[in-house]
Amino acid sequence: MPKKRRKNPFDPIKIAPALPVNNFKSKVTAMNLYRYAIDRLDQENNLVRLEIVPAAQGMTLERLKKLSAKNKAESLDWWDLSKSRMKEKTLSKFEKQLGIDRSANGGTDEQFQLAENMVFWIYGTHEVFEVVISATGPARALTKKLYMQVLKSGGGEDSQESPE
Amino acid sequence: MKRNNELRLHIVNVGHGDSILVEFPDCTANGLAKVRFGLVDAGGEAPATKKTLNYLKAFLDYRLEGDDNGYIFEFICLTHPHHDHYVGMLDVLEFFSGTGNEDDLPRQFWDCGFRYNTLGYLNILNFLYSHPRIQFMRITAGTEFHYDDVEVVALAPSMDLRNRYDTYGVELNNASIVLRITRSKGVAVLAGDAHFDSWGKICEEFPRKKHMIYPPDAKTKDPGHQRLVFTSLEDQLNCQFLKVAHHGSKNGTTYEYLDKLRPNRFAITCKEDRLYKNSWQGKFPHPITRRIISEVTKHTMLGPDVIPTLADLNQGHKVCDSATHGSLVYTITKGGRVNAPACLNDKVNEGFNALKTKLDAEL
Repeated sequence: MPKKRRKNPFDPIKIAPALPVNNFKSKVTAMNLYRYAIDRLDQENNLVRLEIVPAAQGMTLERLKKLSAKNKAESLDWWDLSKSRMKEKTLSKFEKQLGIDRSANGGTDEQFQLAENMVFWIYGTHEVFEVVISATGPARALTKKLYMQVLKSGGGEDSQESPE
Repeated sequence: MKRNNELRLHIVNVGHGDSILVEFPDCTANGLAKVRFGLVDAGGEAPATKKTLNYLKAFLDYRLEGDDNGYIFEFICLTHPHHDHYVGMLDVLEFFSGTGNEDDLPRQFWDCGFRYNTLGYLNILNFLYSHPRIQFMRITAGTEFHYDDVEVVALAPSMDLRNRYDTYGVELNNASIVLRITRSKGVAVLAGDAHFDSWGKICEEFPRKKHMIYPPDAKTKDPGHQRLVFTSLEDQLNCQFLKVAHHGSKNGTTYEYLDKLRPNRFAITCKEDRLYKNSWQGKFPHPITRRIISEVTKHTMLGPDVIPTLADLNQGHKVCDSATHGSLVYTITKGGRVNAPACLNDKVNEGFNALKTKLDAEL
């Protein structure tokens, strides 16, 4: 019978996963998929109010990309509205998380300007954004579709569209 | 049923946000008196998101007193789809659709036409799509509604701004629906979150109206029009009550437009200052707004460093804020007088039975 090897109690590789602290940490840093919509942007006060909605169960980043490419529009089914919440953040911190560098080009580059009504699909944690996808286009397509449906079904006083 | 012949504006205390119940005088349908009301916004912040619904339930309990006469929910108006104006709206819509009687649903939904991409707003649209009984309307300046002797006119958003919503980046606050509610000589303006652009358009589209009367012989005997008589210098925008725009933000109040409106009473919808986070502390109502209101109401210029407190402004309940006074109920009588508000201080006790008792006692 081979001699049993003595377990080294100081082996960090073996011991570390069993520590409750690390388990907690791993939960905190779990990556998730969220939809961030800018509800209010207050540049004067350097504040941004965000609507954060997690993805519905079973939705992955890859699936989201595929569905979006196929439909060119969002769907309410992709998101778990029951877990929706609002969060106020410092605008500069949010920009940093998104990877926007306003100091480039003297801070005037419109490509990097945030605005109300913008939507992002974000894969990451609340602190670190791993993948950021600008999703204003598909979001607008969904809004337009829903809006026109309601106007036509609800007997709106006109169906004239505002220009896009 | 408890009868009501007055026009009442309930400014519901939802913290930082708007929620205004417009209670019209009772109407008669099929020989029965009915409670008649509309709702302008259903906002607030967590955890107060259900306050509007709870207030509405308490209000209906109070008015109907168990009678089955019913009520007419005339309209629900979303001034603009910012979170602090719509967060409790779906709860309200679902409650009235959950009764199983389609007549309980609001008859109309008023929308400003600005397409917003937050899922909270889209969820409201989704609800409206599945309830075609509710007429969906895009409101613009000049739209009028009449409820017996009460007239409701939209002062904003102007068509000019609406046509620019998507292409020229109109800020959502400037897309706010602004309502003027008139009964006899009593005029109330609910300003939503309108900012400068919107007020500019309102002043342009509802200009000063002077009634000028010339004596009969003015042209022949008085070529210099020396005897011209101004009978009225009243402005189309004159009002007795104003729900201050944008929770008292300095972007929603200017001296010029307030000088045109000249209200006697003001209501500001905001929460306690200490509850604001970060740099929003001290901004609602903003010191500049407080100065402007003070100068307009007291007709005196303030020194450069003077910033009046809310207590300074509130002499005789002229300027009330929901943070200090809780929910406010303004009454406009048949003759058009706007009374001092009844204050339903529900900050501590949110039990709506207590609120009902206060409604009984104070109205």
